Amino acid sequence: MSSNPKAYVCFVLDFYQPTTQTTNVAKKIVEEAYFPILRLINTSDHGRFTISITQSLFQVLHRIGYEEEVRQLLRQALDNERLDLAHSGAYHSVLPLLPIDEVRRQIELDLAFKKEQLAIDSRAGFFLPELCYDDKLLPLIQEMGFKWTLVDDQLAGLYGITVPTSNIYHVNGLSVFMRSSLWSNALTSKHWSGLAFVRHLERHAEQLGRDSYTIVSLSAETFGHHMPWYHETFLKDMLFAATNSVSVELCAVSDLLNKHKIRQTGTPVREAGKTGRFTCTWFPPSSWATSADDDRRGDSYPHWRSRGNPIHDYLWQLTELILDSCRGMDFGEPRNAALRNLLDQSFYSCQYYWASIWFWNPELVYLGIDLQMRALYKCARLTGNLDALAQGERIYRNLMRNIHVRQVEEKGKRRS
Amino acid sequence: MKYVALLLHMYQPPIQRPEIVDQVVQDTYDPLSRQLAEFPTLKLSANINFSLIRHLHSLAPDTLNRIRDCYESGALEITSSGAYHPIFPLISEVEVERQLRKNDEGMRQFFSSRFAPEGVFPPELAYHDNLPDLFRRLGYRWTLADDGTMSYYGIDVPYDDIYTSHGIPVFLRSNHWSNKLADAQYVWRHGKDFVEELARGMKSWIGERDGYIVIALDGETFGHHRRSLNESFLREMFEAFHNCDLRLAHLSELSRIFPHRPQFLPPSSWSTDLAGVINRDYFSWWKSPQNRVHTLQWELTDYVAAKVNDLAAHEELRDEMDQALYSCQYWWASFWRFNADEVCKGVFNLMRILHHVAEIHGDRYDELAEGERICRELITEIELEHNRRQHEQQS
Repeated sequence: MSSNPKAYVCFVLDFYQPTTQTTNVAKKIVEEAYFPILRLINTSDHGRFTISITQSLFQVLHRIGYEEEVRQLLRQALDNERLDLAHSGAYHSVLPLLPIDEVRRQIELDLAFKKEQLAIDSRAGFFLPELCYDDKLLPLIQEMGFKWTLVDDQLAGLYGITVPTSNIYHVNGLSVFMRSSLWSNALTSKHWSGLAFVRHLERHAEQLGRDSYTIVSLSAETFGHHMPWYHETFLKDMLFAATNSVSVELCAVSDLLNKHKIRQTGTPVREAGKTGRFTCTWFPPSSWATSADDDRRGDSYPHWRSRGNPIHDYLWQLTELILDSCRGMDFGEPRNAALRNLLDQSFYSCQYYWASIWFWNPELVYLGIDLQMRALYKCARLTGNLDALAQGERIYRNLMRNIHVRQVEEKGKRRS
Repeated sequence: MKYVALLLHMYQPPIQRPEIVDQVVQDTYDPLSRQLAEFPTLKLSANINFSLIRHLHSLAPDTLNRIRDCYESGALEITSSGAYHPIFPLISEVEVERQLRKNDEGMRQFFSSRFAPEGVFPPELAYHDNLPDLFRRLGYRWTLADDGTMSYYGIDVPYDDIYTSHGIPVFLRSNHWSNKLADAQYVWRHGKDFVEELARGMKSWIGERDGYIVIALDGETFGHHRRSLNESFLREMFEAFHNCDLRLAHLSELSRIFPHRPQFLPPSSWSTDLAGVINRDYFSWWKSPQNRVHTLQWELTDYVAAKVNDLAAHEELRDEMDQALYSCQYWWASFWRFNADEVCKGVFNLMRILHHVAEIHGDRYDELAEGERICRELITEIELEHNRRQHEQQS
């Protein structure tokens, strides 16, 4: 047995596209990122990956004719135990911003989809879309039988929470891992070689002198689509380097629960005197994009619902109006099934993301608005609630006006 | 003998709010129907579109009954028109025909089983030369156009004969007298003052010869649009007509009294002005090529109509589309009367229909993506126009 301390590294890759994704873009992403990553996982002799893959992506794959090929790659990786498949929300909603019943629905859909499409019945990890976290989600995740989830560590220091490296927090028996924002962000900020990354981890393990782990979590599209050839220059290179490393071991998040030197330590302990803007029992509300400045401003989910962003305000007004209008409907009734299906799909994260201060693509915001309006029109037809429809139409007008204003501003920025 | 054909055009759009209809009933339809009933020997004409008849049927049945009594007694002549008040020259001939058929069928169902109109009142008197031919083929015997732009073409306004086109009489409405009455807020203190001035005016126009004049205006002028033209004004006006040398006559009667003369009449509406003629923008209140909102409104209208036409057998949808062609939504987008809320009502009404189409197609929403795009562009344009006008007002 080696006396070298182990540096476990886990990659949690989020495979997701909204149902509104165009065929051309979706095909490009599959060919540039998804296929290479899944083939790499399948051909690797060492190392396991954790991935989340959403139902919405499968719908897109079905539309563009790639569903079967992706399913086979996933099945092969699962059968060969190269893959740890986490569950998630079926349509990648910002879960803390939805009513808890809708969150439950998103999870139930995901479970049913994975059982039907991939014959997965186990419930190990739960991946929060965009790592959008709120304490209110933990009891539900636990109640639904999951063993672990993941939150971002970026705000931990602000709230006096020690980021664990050799132990695991747990809340009422549910393990809560922390994503290394340092490494996750570093890997996307420039082109790293896999070898350099492994060497860093080796040096860190040596300095630490005990077994530790690092969790990197990123969108799967990072490797090959957002960063061309990164699946080769980073992932493949890392796998090769890790194979020859005495300390670095690439494992799945679920595997960490069984590493005897990585211990469950109980709920997070706060350092006295440190507190962020929000009151929380376990972890602060956050996402993988939330900085300390965002937290101070009161923006726990800045890319999806930012204070002072009128487009976000109106988008969420529309979302809330629709959900309110549909509350109490009997979705067991066959006539309401199509509406239920629309509601499930309508509140996906991208539409809010592309209206954020940092990312701007009005066409992708429009697609979300259209989807939401379809749900609202259908709801009005089924319930006869024309007041809600009129209210939604007013919000729609405000959205169009504010999107136009933003477009003018963006054009001005480009000119200057 | 000097004849006056007084035609009152009464209409509310199908999506009008009930409280507004109630208000107009109180201001106009009720007092007007009472006064019509008070003067059973006067021959008046009216156009009441089916969309208003439906509102009255549910909201003011007593008023509707009084109007029906006047019609059935023969005092009131009622024309045909588009059931939901579309601008005839801006829609297809098939749609014009359906609007006329729906109007008459609806009138027979909700108004009087004996309803058999001889004339057609084209909404907003929006006229073009294809219409008379269609009306004749459908069995109607006369129609109307406005005389306001005729002088630009050197066409005289007749008084002792009637122009015909494609074999049916086309009466020319007196733009001068109709608008004079429609705009007469506190011009005449009493109804008889108007009648006396009209009598003098006709005499100065045609001297001692026999002749006729057609005055046509919104019925809502009396009480609702013009507070001073209230019920007592109406009573005095009807009394004066009853007691003077001018004789009120139905247009059908005039078509039999006066000889006919063929004449080509150019496109026009009762709102077309010289600028409209010069720019060949005859229906600028409803579809002006210089108005971006109009352009997008009609793009959306045509898109939705095409989708509905693909589902021709679906009657509920067909009826929704027929109603969605009402003219007001375009009128409120005109340069002169821009009202964002009213324009948006029409847009969202069309979008409701489009979503209904998608449902009928089994929730095939890809079917309506282009409509959603037009809608986005249109609403953005409406909001921009609204903002521009607000800024102008503020500055």
